[in-house]
Amino acid sequence: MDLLPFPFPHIFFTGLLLALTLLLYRVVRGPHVLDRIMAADSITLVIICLMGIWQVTVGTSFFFDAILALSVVGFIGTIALAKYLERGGLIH
Amino acid sequence: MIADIVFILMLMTGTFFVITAAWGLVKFPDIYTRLHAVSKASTFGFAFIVLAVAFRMGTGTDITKAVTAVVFQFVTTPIAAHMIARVAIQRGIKPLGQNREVIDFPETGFAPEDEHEKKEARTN
Repeated sequence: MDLLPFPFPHIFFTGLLLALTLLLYRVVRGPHVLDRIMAADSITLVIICLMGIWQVTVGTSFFFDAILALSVVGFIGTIALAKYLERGGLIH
Repeated sequence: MIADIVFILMLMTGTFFVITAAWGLVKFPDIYTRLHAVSKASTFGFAFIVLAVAFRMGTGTDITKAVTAVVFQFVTTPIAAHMIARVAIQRGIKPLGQNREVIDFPETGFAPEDEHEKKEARTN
């Protein structure tokens, strides 16, 4: 299996994992719940980027469906948590 | 060859912006400045990486899916950021700055909670 269609994918994996570590620090240490919510939203985004680079590395293209679905799920999760914390609840 | 170079440059740009967003989320002192950092830069990096991957893959279906995901993310990330900021204002979290005492918060029934003072109280 041709695992390296482009040179040095490890640089991008390392960079995105560094970003993931920083976001996990904010999730664990966040002073408020809203910090944790937006860090989790960004974690979804970074995981999508990792899936994209990973599918180029392997050589398939069936992760685009997962990218589309995961972006929708991340947005809906953020909106649901924000509406849960908002005054008045889901129905005003 | 040119396509490879453009692909790797787009990946480097996207990774740089994602790391910048995460670093801003760690480094900035306030919830509003953190929202400012993370909602713009991470969306930009996401668009670069996903479009680079789509144009590397090459078929029309993949490019359509990637462009749909990028457009959806560009539409929905400001909505999520504005909702989080609105919840923060309703909860009475004050922004850091010179005129933070001047800002008039609406009466929402929540007890005002101050992030900065709470963190100071935790460390003390």
